[in-house]
Amino acid sequence: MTTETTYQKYQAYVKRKIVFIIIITFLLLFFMVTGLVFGSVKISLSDIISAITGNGEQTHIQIITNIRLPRVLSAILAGAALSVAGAAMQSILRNPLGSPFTLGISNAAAFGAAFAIIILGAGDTHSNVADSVILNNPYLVTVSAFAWSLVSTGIILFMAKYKGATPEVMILTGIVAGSLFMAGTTSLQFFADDVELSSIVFWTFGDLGRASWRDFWFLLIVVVPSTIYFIKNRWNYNTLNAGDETAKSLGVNVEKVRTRGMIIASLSTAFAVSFFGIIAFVGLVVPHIVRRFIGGDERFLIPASVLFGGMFLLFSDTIARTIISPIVLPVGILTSFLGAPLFIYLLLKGMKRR
Amino acid sequence: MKIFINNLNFSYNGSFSLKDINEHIGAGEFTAFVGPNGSGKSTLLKCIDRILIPDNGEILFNDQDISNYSREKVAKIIAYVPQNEGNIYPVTVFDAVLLGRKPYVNWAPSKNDFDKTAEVIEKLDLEDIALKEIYKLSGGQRQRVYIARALAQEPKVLLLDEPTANLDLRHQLEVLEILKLLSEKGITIIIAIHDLNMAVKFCSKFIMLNEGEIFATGGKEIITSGNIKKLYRVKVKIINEDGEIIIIPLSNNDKPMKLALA
Ligand SMILES: Nc1ncnc2c1ncn2[C@@H]1O[C@H](COP(=O)(O)OP(=O)(O)O)[C@@H](O)[C@H]1O
Ligand SMILES: [Mg+2]
Repeated sequence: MTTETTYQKYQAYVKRKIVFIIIITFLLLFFMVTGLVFGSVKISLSDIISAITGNGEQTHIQIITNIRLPRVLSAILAGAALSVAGAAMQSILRNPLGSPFTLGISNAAAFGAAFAIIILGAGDTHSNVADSVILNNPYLVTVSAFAWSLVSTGIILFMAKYKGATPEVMILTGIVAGSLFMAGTTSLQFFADDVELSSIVFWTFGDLGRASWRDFWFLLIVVVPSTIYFIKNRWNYNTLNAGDETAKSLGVNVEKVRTRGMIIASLSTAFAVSFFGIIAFVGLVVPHIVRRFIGGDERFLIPASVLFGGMFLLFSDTIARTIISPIVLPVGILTSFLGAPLFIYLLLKGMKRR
Repeated sequence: MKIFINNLNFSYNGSFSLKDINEHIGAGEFTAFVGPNGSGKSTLLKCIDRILIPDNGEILFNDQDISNYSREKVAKIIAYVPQNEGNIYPVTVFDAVLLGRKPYVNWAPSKNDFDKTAEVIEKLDLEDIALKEIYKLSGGQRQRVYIARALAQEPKVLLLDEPTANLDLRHQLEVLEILKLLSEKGITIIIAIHDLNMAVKFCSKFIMLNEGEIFATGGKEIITSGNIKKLYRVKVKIINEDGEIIIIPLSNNDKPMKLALA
């Protein structure tokens, strides 16, 4: 046969997606290096290498191994976690606005943080030289934020169990639970003093400046298995996109896939949010950007969102650290400023006819 | 694969139910479910594919009860094309058909899965549009894609809910001709269909449903003006020309519309 077979044509088409993934991988590595090079002090590549291998100037070793490296790696993990959870949720909820945030996870986490700061007294704060507020008991805040995220996930699960695990039930319950937690936070704030209030606000801005090695390892333990889970389920998400009945007829246990995916996406997002605060729009925007490049096939969308998400948050954080140096912006502010207009642009320009 | 439906009952939480369905469909038969809107055609198709779980009764496929099979195992036997595919999302024809290999795929599709997909695409004349996104296709092309996806499942039984609705005459014929060929190759095919003329032209067996019960069942001989009158409350004239049956609806004279009186 002289003409290309259908399969060969398809292979050529798929190759473009693989090339995209390879490019993103290289960009991710490139931004890792720039993330280590730039900051309040610029450190050259050779100095970084000697610092990592334990040679070189003591201050460089300090900055690289204790500050920049955990921050860069945590940015990648958090970005990957938020993005892959967003990509999965858009399919699970069959909604372009789907993300764990849609289900009120961030509101629940913020409530948990406010709860810890005001009720559990984790919020006595001091100002330090860097002009930022430090929580005197950050781990209590993290644990409380996470626990309340679990409560909100539990509410959705409960409703899904009794009313059916459909996108409608999940979205409506999530929105209602989210507004309840928001009202709860507002009520707590009513009883808070100025210092506690500023602690809450400080926590709410997603900030990777909090990333320590300990946070990184915790995050790694959660993000790696959940990412593998989503990648394994990429076929199931493809069937969900085709509709519940089609998915069932293709052999998918729709309720189980949807419920489990929701739990895992919520947990890993809650985990990232509890450590670093609310980093908005990453989970929402990244899958849409990736979809613009490689289309809606979850087999590629899910893994590409992992890489692109890591790259996106790392890039944003590096910008946030350096744009008005020496002042370090919380990355949550930057992702909101970058993400919101980007999302509207993608929505207006790229919305494919559904 | 032959299908026995024994004493099947199903009810939605609301008022509608399928009542005591007993039926036998032979292997490789091309069967039509006919009946008025809301008579339970779609519900019965979904019960057969276990998308809906019957309240009681059993369905046997070659004497096997599949009620405790996993969804995946069922998907290797039965394929189902819903009336309105839930969502038309941006994937290519090839990807949409490849999805039919889902029940056979564990971590990633094998060479065999790709080959099967390409084979079905070529069989259904979709190779020219294999890399086109499905939302850019016409209704007739899209219906062929969904049939292709179902065939990629390598099913023994193929269920289609109103596969010719919204298609023009040529595409209706095309779809039914494909299904007829498949039934001749031994796949048991059941469709829900409204167009009685198309049904008698292609199908070998008819199951008439009315309000969740079987009203009549059999071959072409049950397509009578009496049965149609009872089922649809419409008078028809039936012309039988050398075995070719043509059904012509007559206007409903005994119950003039209010509109006409106004
Ligand atoms: N999910 C559902 N819940 C409750 N009632 C339903 C549901 N789906 C269909 N029905 C009802 O069941 C009856 C039969 O519907 P269906 O099987 O779709 O009929 P047909 O396909 O013959 O038009 C209708 O009265 C319809 O209103
Ligand atoms: Mg119907």
